[in-house]
Amino acid sequence: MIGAEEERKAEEDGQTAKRRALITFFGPIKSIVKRSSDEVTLSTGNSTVRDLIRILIERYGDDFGELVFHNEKINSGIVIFVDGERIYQKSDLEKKLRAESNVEVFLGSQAAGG
Amino acid sequence: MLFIELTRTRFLFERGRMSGTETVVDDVWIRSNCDICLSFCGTLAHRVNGRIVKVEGDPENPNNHGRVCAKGMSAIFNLYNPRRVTTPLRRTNREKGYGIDPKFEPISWDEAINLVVERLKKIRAEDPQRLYFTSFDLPGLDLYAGFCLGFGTVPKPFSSGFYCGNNVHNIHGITTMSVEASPDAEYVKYLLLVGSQFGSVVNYDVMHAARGVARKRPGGIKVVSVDPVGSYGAAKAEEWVPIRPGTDGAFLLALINLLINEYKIYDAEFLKRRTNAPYLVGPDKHYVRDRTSGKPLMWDPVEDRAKPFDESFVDFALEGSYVVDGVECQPSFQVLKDHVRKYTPEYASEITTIAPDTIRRIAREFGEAASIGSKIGIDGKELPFRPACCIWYRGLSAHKHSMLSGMAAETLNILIGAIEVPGGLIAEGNLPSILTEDGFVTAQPGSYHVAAAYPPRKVVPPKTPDLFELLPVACYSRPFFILGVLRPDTFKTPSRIDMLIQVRSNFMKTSLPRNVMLDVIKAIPFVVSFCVELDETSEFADVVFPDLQYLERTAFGHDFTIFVDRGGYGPGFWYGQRQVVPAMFVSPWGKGLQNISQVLFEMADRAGFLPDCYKALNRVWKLKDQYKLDPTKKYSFEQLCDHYFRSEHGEDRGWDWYLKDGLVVRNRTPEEMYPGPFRKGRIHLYYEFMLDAGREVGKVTSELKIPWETEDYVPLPDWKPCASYEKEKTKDFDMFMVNYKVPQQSWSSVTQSNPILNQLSDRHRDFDVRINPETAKQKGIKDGDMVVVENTKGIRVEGRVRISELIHPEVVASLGNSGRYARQFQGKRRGIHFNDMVIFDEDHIDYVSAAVDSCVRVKLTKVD
Repeated sequence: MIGAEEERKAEEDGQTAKRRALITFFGPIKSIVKRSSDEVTLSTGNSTVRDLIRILIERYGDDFGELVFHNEKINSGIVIFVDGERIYQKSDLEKKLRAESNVEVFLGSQAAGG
Repeated sequence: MLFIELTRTRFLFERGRMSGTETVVDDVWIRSNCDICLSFCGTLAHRVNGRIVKVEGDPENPNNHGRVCAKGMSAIFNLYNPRRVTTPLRRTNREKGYGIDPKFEPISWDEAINLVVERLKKIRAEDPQRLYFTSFDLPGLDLYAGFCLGFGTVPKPFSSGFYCGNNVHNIHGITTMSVEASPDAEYVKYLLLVGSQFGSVVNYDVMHAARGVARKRPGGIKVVSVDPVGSYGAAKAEEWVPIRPGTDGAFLLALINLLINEYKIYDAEFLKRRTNAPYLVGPDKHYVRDRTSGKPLMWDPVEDRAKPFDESFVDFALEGSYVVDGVECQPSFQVLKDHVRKYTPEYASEITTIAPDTIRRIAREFGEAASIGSKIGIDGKELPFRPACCIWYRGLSAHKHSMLSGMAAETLNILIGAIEVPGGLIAEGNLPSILTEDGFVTAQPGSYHVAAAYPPRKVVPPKTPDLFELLPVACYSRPFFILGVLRPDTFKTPSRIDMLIQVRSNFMKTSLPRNVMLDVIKAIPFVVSFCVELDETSEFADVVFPDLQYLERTAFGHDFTIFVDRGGYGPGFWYGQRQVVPAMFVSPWGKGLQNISQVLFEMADRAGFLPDCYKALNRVWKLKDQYKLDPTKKYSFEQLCDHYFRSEHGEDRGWDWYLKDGLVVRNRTPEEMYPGPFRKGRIHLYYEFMLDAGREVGKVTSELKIPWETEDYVPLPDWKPCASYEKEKTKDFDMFMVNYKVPQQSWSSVTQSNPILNQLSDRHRDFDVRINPETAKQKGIKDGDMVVVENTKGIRVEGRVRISELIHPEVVASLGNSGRYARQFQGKRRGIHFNDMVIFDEDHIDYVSAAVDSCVRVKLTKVD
């Protein structure tokens, strides 16, 4: 996601740059979204993680949509990383995306133990 | 294939034959680690002229302090095993069943790989979840995860997770921020084992625990083993307390009652500041929340008002009743206090058969040993010192309603403040944690696997064949996978399984009764097995690949591992396995096969998804940017490992470093060793989240008409009887059957193929069934007699009796996972296959933690 310095510079430049998110799906979530990867372009430089997720829900339908949100936060049963940071709390959803953000999505699976 | 007895002469012959004909002149000690149990002790293997002659503990490895047990020392008997699978095999007999000869024929590696690849392509195009990949190979799991996640599934340890960690990992995840936790062996002085053998070379943290406990004896530690069977853990304990099976929860709740209501021994400061004990709870059992912010409220008794938890408090009320916005409410500690009152020692005694005075004494001893309020200096920092700990495992877990018992066990540790502090319960490898908006700290996943009970996952209609979506606070769902395979329409299974790949996961033997598992395996059209020797599962395979024994391979853990940075006093460490001798068989890589993942990634390459595997590894290994794998390239195994080592351990520590050294030992700060006092956030004493989780489960399952149970989604620990406790009891079926572990047979798919370990067990009569002298006398049975044990469904097993005072009079016990029945063990079976006695139905499954009940109501008769 966008850092403070990057954000300040973007504001100074007065840019309304688009944001591009490269999404990779891992594991069983592929069965639900029926793909391994995707790309989303968001039209403003103020685009947030929440905006991105809204687009993904529209794109992949209810099977995906019902997995994502739980009590206004990200469902703890779905694991989403944006630029290496896990997205979970409401405040995470308001974080701004970078010019190009990497998004990784997993469906949470059972512990690998006994 | 006939059974081949491995005598000493045969062993020497086979070692010579299997070592190859090349002339090698060397005399070296090579570092690796054993994987015959979950201790993963660091080892040194002595290789002389290309043959391994000895395995010892690595004295430089802080995990095991230079020690290994009989399993580790005898590993070469598993390596030079004449029953090794040395070539890929294809099944030619389509018929599958117990005792049926698969009529395997050798085929080339290329042909075997292509047989799998053609199916992988088809399955991936249609629905990747139709591949079920099972492995309990923890050092290899990250690489398998790369394969699976890239394909569209995940690795699942199907051979485990039915009986033991079901209400351990999910609860530790919200208490010690880890999947696994153990008592602090360095400082603990009072150790309450409930269905666990910690400290006696069984359990995790084996050698370190055994050393830590042994060093304090005599007189510096009291270990109390509460167990129906006085096995190794009990035999070494200062006190063994026999308990009726399935009643541990009642015992623990009596201790909690005594500590809170009679002895008033609990760490009030810890409860006030680090738990939700002060959170106000209303008549609906939910938190009372601030109307504006929605935050849970606590009562400040000095200011005489309720405030959101994150405001400043002069003090925190733990007891009393208050009115907030017209709602009568109490701190959750008060709710717990009232709830446990019914668990008097007398009541618990009726349930457990433990004398009331014993219960009283143990409660007092435990509470006093906790030394509440005391501190200890650790490397210049003063930390709370709580040298008492309760640890539980399979004996408590393998029952219906066991989630409630697990909650009770953890409550005991929380009451005395023994969480992540010296002497208390500490993590076996901390996971990253987050702070939730309700003020709780909880573990978050490393990558794809979720273990913590909180926050509960959203309950949705099943998306995976495991039905994990219907178990919001569980860490496993194994029995429900089986129900989903057998009754897909009832359980709304979204994907049937078309292919199963098994790597070190002998689930046919270790999971459920054979009649159940036969139906499961027959429902899967194509089975692929990687195995060192043909086992109970690989006999059902359609294609078999040889697997590497640990001394032949290179492997290491990262994402899920318990040999990294164990909590408690001592250095942090990391290490892995290193190939000591080349594979005994020729692979596409000649003698260069070092890890089965090479075969899997070759399959991925041929099937067209290798780039996705590399992307997955980037995440699973958390590779730094400059070491990330480029999906457009193809990497050798050494290159993959090199990327990981440098990313994790530094630019100067790549593949060459790993070959020469590979052991990382680093000093740690007090904060790293004992994070508890430094954590922000609270942990759960009151599991309020269970209420909504249960409601969601009820809603979804009733809408889909899936038969389910939600009664155990309650916020406080409790005890409810298993079916065997009362419902199944009759005049004839008057005993319980349970199983137990011994150190030399911890992982029986490996150990029971080891002639040295079998000899050891034969000598100790481990494979006999144990009964108490009183029981024997009542039933006219003598030591050495053959008996039949029959469950209420008419399943019968036969075994030889060993009379022992180290067993509860109502119990007959057999060694867990013995009675191997693969074809090569015909005529040489040792012991009883306990799982055949387990009853698998709704009455015997815990619908919260997915544990399967393994205390079985039986009758015992002598064979005439």
